[in-house]
Amino acid sequence: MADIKTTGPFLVVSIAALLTLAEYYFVGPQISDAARTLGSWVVIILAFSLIMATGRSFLYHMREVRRRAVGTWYYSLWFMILVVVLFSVGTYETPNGPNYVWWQTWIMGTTVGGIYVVVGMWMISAVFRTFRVRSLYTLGSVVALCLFVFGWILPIGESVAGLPPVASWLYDVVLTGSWRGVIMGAGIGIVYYGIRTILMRERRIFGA
Amino acid sequence: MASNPLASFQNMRRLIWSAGLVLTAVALLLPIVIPAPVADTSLRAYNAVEGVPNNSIVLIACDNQNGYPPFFTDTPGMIAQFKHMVRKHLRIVVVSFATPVGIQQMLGYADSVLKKAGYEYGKDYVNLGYFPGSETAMAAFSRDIHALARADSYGKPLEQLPLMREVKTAADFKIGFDYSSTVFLQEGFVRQIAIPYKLPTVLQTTGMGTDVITYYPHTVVGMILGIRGCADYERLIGEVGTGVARLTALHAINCVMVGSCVMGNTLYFMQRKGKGRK
Amino acid sequence: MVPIEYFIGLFFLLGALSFLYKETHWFRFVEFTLMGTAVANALVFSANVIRVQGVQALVAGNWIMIIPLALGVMVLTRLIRGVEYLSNWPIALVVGVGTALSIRGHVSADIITQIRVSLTWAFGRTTPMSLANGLLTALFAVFTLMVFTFSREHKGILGWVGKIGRMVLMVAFGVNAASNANFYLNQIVTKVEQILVTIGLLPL
Repeated sequence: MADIKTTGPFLVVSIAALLTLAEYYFVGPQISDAARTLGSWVVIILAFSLIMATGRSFLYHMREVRRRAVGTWYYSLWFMILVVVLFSVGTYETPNGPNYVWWQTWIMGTTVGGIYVVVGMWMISAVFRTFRVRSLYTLGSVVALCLFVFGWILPIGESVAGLPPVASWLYDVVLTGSWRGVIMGAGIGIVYYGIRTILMRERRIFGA
Repeated sequence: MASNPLASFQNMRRLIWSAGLVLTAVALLLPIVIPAPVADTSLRAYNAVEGVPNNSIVLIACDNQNGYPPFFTDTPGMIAQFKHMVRKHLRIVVVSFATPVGIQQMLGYADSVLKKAGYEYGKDYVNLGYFPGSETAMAAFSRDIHALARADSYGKPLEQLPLMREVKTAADFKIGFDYSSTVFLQEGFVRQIAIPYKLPTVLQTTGMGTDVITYYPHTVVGMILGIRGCADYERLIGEVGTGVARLTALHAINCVMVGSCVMGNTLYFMQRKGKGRK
Repeated sequence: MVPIEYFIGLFFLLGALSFLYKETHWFRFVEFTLMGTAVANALVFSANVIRVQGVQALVAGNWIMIIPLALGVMVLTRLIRGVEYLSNWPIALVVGVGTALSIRGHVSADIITQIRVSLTWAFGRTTPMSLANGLLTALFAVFTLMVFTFSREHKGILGWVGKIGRMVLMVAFGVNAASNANFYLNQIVTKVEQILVTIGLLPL
């Protein structure tokens, strides 16, 4: 019994993965139908997973309110009220409803934009602190940053002769080449990890 | 020895932030137009859309996870693209793999453009709504749209929508657009929809992902990059709007960033020189 | 006349920006509002997907949909102590399909396509300059891969290749940093514009 409990899910991983791979590499209507069905099932399961994750978050805040956590319990209460109200509005109206879209547009949208501004400001000050020329490598980084900003991102650089071709060269040759290498390496790593998962050699999928 | 207040990182940080906000505001208020040639990526995007036969069906994926709030960076570019699409009477299927709200917001911005062109829902454009699962949903969508989406975002069965009778898989689209601010979803779109079905794709992004076009040069046929891309597209279609106005402010804030890098290095070398003398 | 929504948006925007000064109560209120909205958003569209693609299909006669709905309910057992192991089965299905899609996508787009494009870019050029650039691009890709090769010590030729690869990577990081930073700088411009429009300094 214990064997099925522990080994069964790994077997399901392998079978589902092999079926989905077979659909891509082999021609066969039964394989295609089965893989397509599995794909649409996964979308529904992912929706349930999202509900599970949000439920966990809600439970955490409920605990904070119950124990009257100093300095935060009233924010947790506001969080819970908001979730209940917005969920009711969104379910009643559907996500296309006017009130729901209004809230997303004017509250969520502007707040997220504000957070991005804060992050942007921190990035500018991070550039001040971290892009220091301590070696030849960091000199390359700093020079590339300046050249790229003025030669590519900002059109005013195109009035300075020679700058755009250098920035274009950095973009087309150096960035392309290096990131191609990184992508290939990452792709090989992901494929390797995927094959390990299919062969049931990766035991950490379901936690420790 | 008295400490130099400017050398303290805390003060420096606040100085940089204040300079950034003030200079951006001043640049937005002053009516300076910076001479700006069109970027190659924007021109390629424009030419790709121009090359699509009139009346074709196109796919738009609204993949910005935070939707399209007011004063969003990509809005002028999106509106310019819609204006371009309606000129050629391209029929539009809209979908999202990031959030359901983004489509409503985007269609809100495009509403006046579509209405002016006489576009009719169901016949000229369809909103299929949101599908969770990111790349899994993209793969399922591209394989068989009707199997994944039995109805549109408003609950109407796809069989009742004339436009959807002509579309079964991703191969039925002539060109794809992905509007996102994260390269992760755009790469997923390219991997799961564009490459398998050889769908020429135009990506619109807010600055990040400038390198995506070089990884998939035969598939990603153009990119609209941030404020500059939006300004370029507005100029290419001949209808200048807020995109061009924001370019000056973009110059200002980028100068602050490069200036802080230069300032950081100057202070660093001054400190090193000071230590060397000791 | 500036609509009231602009001022409501401005309240939340300035609340988020107040973090630049310090972590104020205003910021915390805005932060928790954002969190609540995001969680409600996730709940709403998940429920919508389950309703439209699962329940409605089941009610319409597609009885096989009972399987994904049952598997979905099993996911929720992760919240109940003692029966968490039941959630491993639907997660296994998701992991299996996701792994296969990953392999499919990455093999074709990240390995085969990149090798093909590197070679065709290198050898499909007509002018000497573009041929040189194409070859350099392919070489830089190889050098970058060599930086991450740890099965041999970086000495001799491999050492030099690694050094050049590291330099190329650092230059690429600088370019990427500029590009990534610009995402946030674009947001700064548009949010400052929003503030100016709301307070009336810029036209609507």
